[in-house]
Amino acid sequence: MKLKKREAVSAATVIAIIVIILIAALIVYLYTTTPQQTQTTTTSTSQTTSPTTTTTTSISYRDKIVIGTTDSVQSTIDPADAYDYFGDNIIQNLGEGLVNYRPGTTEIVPALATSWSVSPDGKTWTFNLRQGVKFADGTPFNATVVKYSIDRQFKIDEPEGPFAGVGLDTIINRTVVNSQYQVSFVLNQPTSFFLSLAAFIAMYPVNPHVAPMDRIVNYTGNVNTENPNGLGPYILTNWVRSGGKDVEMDLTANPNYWNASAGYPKTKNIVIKFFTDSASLNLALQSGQVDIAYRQLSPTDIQAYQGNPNFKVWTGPGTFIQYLVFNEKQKPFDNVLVRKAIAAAIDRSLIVNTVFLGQVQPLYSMIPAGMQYHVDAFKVYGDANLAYAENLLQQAGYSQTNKLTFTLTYPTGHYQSTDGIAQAIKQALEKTGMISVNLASEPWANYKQSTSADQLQVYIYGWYPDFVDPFDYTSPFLPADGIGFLHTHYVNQNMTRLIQQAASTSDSSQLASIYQSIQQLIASDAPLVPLFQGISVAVSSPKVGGIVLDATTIFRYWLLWETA
Amino acid sequence: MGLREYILTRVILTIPMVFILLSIVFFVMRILPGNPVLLRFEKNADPQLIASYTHKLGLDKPLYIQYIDYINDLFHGNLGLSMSGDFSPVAPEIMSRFPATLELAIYSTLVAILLGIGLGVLGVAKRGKVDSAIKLYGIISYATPVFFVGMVLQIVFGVFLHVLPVYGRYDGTPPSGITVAGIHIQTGLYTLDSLLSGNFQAFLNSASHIVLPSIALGVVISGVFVRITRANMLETIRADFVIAARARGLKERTVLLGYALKNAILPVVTVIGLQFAILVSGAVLTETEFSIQGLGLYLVDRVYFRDYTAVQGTVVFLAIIITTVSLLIDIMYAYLDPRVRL
Amino acid sequence: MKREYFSPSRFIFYSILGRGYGRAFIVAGFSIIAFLSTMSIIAPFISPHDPTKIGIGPSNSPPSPSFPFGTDQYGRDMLSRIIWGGRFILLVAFTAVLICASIGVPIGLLSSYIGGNLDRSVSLIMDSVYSFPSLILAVMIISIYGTSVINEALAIAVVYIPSYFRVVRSQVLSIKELQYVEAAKCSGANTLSILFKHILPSIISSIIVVATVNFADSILTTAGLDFIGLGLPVNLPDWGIDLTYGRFELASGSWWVILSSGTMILLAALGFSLISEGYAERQNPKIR
Repeated sequence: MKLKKREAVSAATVIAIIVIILIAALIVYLYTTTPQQTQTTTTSTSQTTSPTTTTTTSISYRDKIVIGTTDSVQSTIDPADAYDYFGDNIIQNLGEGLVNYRPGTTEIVPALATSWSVSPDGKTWTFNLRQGVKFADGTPFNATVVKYSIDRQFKIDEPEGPFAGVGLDTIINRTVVNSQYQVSFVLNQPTSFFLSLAAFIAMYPVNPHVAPMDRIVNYTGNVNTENPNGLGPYILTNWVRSGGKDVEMDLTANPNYWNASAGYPKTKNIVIKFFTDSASLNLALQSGQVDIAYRQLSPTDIQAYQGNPNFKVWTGPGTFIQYLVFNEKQKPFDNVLVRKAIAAAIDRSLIVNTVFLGQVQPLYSMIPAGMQYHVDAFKVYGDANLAYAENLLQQAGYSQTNKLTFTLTYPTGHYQSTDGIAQAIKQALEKTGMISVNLASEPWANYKQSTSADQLQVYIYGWYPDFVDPFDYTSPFLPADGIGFLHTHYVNQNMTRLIQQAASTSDSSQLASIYQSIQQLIASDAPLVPLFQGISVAVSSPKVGGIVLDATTIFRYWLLWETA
Repeated sequence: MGLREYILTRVILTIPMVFILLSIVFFVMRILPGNPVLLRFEKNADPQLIASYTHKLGLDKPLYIQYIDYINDLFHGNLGLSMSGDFSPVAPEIMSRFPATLELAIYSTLVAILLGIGLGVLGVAKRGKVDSAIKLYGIISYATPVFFVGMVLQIVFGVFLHVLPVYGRYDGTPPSGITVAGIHIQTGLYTLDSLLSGNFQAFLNSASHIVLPSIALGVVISGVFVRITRANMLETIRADFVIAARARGLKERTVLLGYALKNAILPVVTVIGLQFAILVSGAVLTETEFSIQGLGLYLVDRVYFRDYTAVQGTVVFLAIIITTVSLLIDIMYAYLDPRVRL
Repeated sequence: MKREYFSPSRFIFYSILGRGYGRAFIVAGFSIIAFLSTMSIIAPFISPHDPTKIGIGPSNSPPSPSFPFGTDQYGRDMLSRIIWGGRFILLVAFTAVLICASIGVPIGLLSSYIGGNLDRSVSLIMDSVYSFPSLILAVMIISIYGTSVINEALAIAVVYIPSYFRVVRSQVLSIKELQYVEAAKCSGANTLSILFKHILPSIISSIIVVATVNFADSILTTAGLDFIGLGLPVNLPDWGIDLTYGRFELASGSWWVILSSGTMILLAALGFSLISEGYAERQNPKIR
């Protein structure tokens, strides 16, 4: 009996000791982490400021910034394959184009090319390349690398990739190496926006020793074999990806970056942490686990941060748009009267103010406001123009008793607040008394399939630009056969002709009138109804600087800094 | 029946059980008419591409051959090829995800046992109002959605108090484990790996990450432990030998902890087995909430990507784990309590 | 000998009014469930606003006299959403319980009554499914067949069939040998009539206890499916969806959305748990 008693006591003691150790360890950790952090920052500070300690400024910078996002690379960071927002953005930080945008503007500036010229017929573009640039493994950058990269795009010819996505496969005829540091692109027809295309990731040079001619470079878990880029401000040092989603990415300054002497990148190490949803991202930002949250916090979160002195909210013009799509194979949406009635009845202020708390702008054209040649073409309908909508519906044969009934489908898990947008549209349309809307939702993957299978009647899509040109806001939506990725089945010879003209015209006054006609034709035929245009928002700790949000939607890690 | 015979019978019985479960999973996944590859692609995708995918995944064979292949593959530890990307095999991915789930399971069970036994004993010792409150706690904790508890913990400890991380398993590069005599030992359980490599800072880092998730999950599971401890203590307290001990004038504390608890703790072992299903369900939700890259989050992610082979592989893996755990617990229980073998 | 047949209403009536252990739990549980079901049924008549309508009030406004439960991110009235929000989750749970009881009970009756190898094989199948997590199987089923009330209910039901089977089986095995069953057998009654007329009534109280646990678990699993995004369409008023989406507003200070929706889920699950606990206490003196 005695023995048993001692056993019992000792078991309890062991448990108690374990618990005490765990709690003690935790307390020690909580007390040690804060001083620990300041310690590391002060050492890094002394490192960075030691050469300039004699100067008057005593501001010290941290050498690591943690960025949180709900995005993820869709499949790879190979310019022959990546055609998703985040994949492209990583390439924009790990790679470099022949030309690039001046941060904060849409002005094209030299990057890997120092100068360029175009032949009088507009069909040959010649670039003089920067000399002495090399990849991390020592491979030199020259005209052969550029030709290799473009030829590789043609060879791989990924149908869902960015090269074919923006039509480069039909624009470029061939690439010619003129000399070691001069390369020319011969085009099939004059292309007014070719310089913008040269700044797009599909034309970024890749390292021939990492990127084979005939194969896309996949994620491998080894940074030496999964990243074909290497001329940008950062190099990839760690990429953890699991179950088709990113977990963490670590970037460190590229010592071979052509602009390193100018002090870029500003911060040596960038850590990107990937979150499952905006709630976790928001919590991590508030608990200090991340320094910057970029894409996507919810409108409510952003509103709350705007009044919070412990955080800084950064906004930039949004080139992201969302719009309503009609499938004209689905009756009665082949009837232009019905489409116009819906365009007139929609109340954008309900979407803008109630769903997005004023954090987006109403949009009246497929080309967003702030972009060249934008015209508020849909203003002819007004907003919530019930009288006009009812009139059109009556002409189409509908009445209070014989209502227009249809299903509005929206995607989940892809864009923000789509359920609110759909409900706002439903409420506005039902105010006519002649429309009855059923709402349905589908997960993104199914949604795209149902779209392709012509199963949806009216649905919502969004668009980010590939390159900053109005052409990218018209041509992809209005293919000649009416199919494309939207499956509108809207076919109009005039529209097709106008878009062809827009592609080959370089005179800006001519372009203005062409784009005006295109936008007015979209408004009068209403195959699509623009809804709103987003604003890019980042929230950071107040010590962070250098966030530039502009119309290019490139998030440049190499401009970021954070004071200690 | 001796212990050996009991274990043998139990093991032999487990084999058809696993087999039945695997067959159910297979037929649930395949009963849908048509080609699962079609579900992944756009409906107007290149027929040749679909055919090559179908062939690569073996979906062009008759159903019974597919079934034989599936079972055969399982015996060789092959859970099939992922339907996304480059057809990477599912099994290594699952194995790399498993430690995260295991670590969460271990710590939350620990929390549940400590909480459950502690409160159970307290209730029996105090009786009256305290006991009623504890009884109510047992019922309420069981009825609470685990992610509701998680939300509250995240807000209180992460946002208001700023003391604990609310996301992930580790800040920075995870601990690498230890190399002993040329063999590299890395369990994937970060708290263990960091201790193995002797890095105390890393241990605290990983431990602080696991605190909130394991409390959230542990609290929800603890309800059943409270009930079972209470019930068994009440029963043993009325048993002769405890009454005898009391009669001999031993202190009440000694009677409760030394006699009643010791005997009441045994059945808790069986409950761990029964709780395992709730634990796994809860882990899916907890991992989603705290962004822990475990099996649960993998399952949810793969559903979103419509990757049926990965979903099937994960479910099969969990089925095997669950059956094995319940087998082990039965054996352990039989070893501890000879009555079971009778 | 005249045997008194079982009547569920009388059973419930006596267990609430009758003295005995666990009465407080049973009464509390039934009251909660009665309250929630009534509220869900008469929702269209008592709800102050359309629960799906956005912009009724300002976004994320805390509880106030005009919006006693506050509003959510789109300015929808939380009180109306709470009143309507039980309809789907309770319907799914109810359907699930109905499905698995009506499969599990007859199989349990027949299998255990017939016995032999059939019983052994059926038991083995049931045992292998018994310990499987309901959420995992539900995720798998819904990932293929899509979301609907019936699919969710079916997915949850599959895992619970063995619980009914096991309870019925253990009861039948002991009742089978009792005198009145033997008497019925001798009097030439066929198997089915013995099973359903003589055995079933005497085990109904055990089935009800299993059903209450099943109910509570179904509610939690349904809410769990909402949480991982495999639940019902998000525009429906539903406690699970509000709790899931309320989490997105929580860190910005809107505690009222998750508090009200979370409490409702907890209450629903708690109501059924209380009933099962009450009966357990009544039947098992150990835990009093």
